[in-house]
Amino acid sequence: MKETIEKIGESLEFISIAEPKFKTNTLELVFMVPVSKEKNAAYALAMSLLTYSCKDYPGYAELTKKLHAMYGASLNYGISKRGDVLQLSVEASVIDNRYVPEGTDLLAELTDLLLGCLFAPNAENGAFSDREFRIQKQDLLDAIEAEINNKRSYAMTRAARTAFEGEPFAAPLYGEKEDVEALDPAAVYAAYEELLRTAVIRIYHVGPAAAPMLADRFRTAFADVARCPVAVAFHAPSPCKAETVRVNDPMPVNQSKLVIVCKGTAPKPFAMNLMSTMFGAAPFSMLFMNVREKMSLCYYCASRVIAGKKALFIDSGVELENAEKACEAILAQLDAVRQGDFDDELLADAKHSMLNQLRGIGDTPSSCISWSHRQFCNGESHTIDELADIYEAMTRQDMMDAANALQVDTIYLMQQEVQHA
Amino acid sequence: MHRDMREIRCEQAGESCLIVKHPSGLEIRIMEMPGFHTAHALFGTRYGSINNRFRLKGDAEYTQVPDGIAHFLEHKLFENEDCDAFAQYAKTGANANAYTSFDRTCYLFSCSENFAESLEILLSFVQAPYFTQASVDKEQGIIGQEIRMYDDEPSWQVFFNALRGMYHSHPVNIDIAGTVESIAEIDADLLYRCYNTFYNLHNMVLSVAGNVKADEVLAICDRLLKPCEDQGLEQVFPDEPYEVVTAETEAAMSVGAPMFYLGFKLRPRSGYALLKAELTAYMLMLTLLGNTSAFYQEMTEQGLLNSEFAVDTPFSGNGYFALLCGGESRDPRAVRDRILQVIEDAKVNGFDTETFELTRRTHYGAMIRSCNNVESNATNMLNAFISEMEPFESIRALSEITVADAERFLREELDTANITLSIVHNGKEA
Repeated sequence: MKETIEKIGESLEFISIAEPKFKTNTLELVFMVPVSKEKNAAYALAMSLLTYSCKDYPGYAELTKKLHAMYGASLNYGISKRGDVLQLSVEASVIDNRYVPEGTDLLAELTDLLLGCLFAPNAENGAFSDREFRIQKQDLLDAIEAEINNKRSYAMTRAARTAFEGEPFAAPLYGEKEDVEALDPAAVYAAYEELLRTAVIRIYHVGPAAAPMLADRFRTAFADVARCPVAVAFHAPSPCKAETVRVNDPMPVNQSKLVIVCKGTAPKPFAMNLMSTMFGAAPFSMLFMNVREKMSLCYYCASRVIAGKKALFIDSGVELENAEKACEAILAQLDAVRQGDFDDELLADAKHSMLNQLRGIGDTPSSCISWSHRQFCNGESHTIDELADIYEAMTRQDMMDAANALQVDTIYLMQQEVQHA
Repeated sequence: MHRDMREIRCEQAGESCLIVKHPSGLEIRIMEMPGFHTAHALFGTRYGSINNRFRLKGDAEYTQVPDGIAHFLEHKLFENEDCDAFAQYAKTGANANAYTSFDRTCYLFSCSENFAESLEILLSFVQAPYFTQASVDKEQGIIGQEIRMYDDEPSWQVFFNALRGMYHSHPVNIDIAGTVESIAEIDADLLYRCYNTFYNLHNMVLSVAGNVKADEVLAICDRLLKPCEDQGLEQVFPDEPYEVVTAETEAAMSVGAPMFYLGFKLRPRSGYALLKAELTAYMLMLTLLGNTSAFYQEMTEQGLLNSEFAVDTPFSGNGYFALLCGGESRDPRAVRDRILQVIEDAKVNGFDTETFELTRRTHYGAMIRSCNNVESNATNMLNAFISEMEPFESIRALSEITVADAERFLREELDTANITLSIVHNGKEA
């Protein structure tokens, strides 16, 4: 995995990752701005409109036909949060020219298409096209309504709202329904222009070979944009509440969902990741082996570190009558880590798991981008081997310190209303 | 050790793989992928939720087993007499898992280090069942919660209601994990009976791709595979009428916009004929209803469909073949009516052949893309085995399909009277 980074503007970088084994070329542009309760909806809608049509292909059918003609090229957008930063990405990929008739330059076509979507959107007089706007606005409203469909992620979102109340991170990714309702084509276009001007931007290319002309294409495209990037905070530790807040949320479901949010900063960097692997993020972890396998309380019981917020989420799906028992069992396992009541073997297993994940980076275009992006956000410049060494060197005391740093902030329970015989 | 070994090449993707018929009875498929760090291995058997009635050579009667037993067996196989397989994998760092579907159970791992040790674990634990009544009882609670989790997933419920709406007696209409009641009937003896029937190496495949060496894989297999005698497995599926069960089913759950699936029940087939029919049908449906179609534009324009709408890859296997499309809509019945109209119009007036050809191109691109990925390559080789196909046959079929094939399928197979509509709308369960 050979990476080169070129600065092509103010807080605007082009990253090229060449990996001869790949059969595809991937381009991904990531806008990074502060999470904003007021603006998230407009940003999200702008992303969906940019990938729905453009001036050259002014309808979704036309744009999709073009992608099909390029042997099933893809064009998608994604939205996520890291710390108090909203990350909005547009990703396009296509198979390499080796696999299509001679004379076809799919990477050049993909670059043209992506630049067209970004710099010649389907808009006139400072507003996105009405027709496409109406369709995509409804689509976004439907997506917000559909968040309830996946009960596990819905419970996590609800828990996060309480845990991070009053912080930017609590703002929903796509905004609230009423925020979307209030938008018009001009407001969303203005939000997009603001993104172009103010976002910190990274553009990634991953393919079998470097394509030196790409950076210039993007440099030229951004030449007319008056860039004035805003500061973004990838690390925004969330303060822990003085007293644990409990939320009971009755819903017509068959299974209750328990989410425990803990907060705290491990004294040693990366220690929380390893502690989470050992505690609840692997099928040999303490939560899996005890709460699931020994106590038979649930199908899943897992922990996850929320990067940038210094938080750890633990979630499980349980019968209502077992919810308290599961909660106590989870916290008992956390106490066990705090007190060093775990085998050295478990720590060694967690290290094996982390190293296995690290050494797999570079086998997919998405993992190449994720690795590079994570380094940027964390302000790190480790190689994979160096990070592996950091994990290798961690001790049981580091795990105990990480667990001891955690305090329980929120306990959320989606309470099942359906009773079973 | 003497081996029956062949190399299969795919010129378009520039890939090749080895197919080995091991003396133990196991088929082994290996794709070496130079330059990749990771390896992915799957050890699979042609045994899923639909294989619930069977007998072996010498048995007078067929055995009928409780719903969900294949999935239950998958869970229990991870526990050996002296150790849990996850605990063994923890020593190698491999990321391990397993899954059960309608017609297969697969045990898998991916790793970037210690491949040989992980492969040894995989081959060993899958060949060493150990069930006790106590461990079976313990698993009831865990799987019970897995079932409850799926009970709350509207996408799963709307899909299964569509299957129940199409299939009268074929076990494809049974939930893969069974029910809390059906798994209560499972005991250690039944698990052993199913294991000894379906986990015979003649019924199984090992599929490996990525950073592997074929010689190393085969040496481990030679050492660890326990030769099996072909037991003459016979299965029987109940007679399934051509007609669907019902034209419509509706359920209430906690959801956003109503969700729906429209299912077209088709005559089942097998082997290469099925592969070609699947691709033909899928390309045709994408032409008529996909993102570039006039239908999709009209429906989104009218606010009747959103970006969740999709034509699924065909749903097929031993004794079943159906096309499904679905998504979210405020008026699923209006969408159904329009889809049926579009299909009937195409039967009379034909369809856009340019779009059909673009769909072929898209499929070709998707097949090349999947060769970019270690996991996809291993999974594709396994899928081909389950369907009694050789690897890369899809690319051949794709190049052979003609517009005339699609026209014939449209006229002779796609029956707009043999459909079911499954709807899940927002509300409390009855």
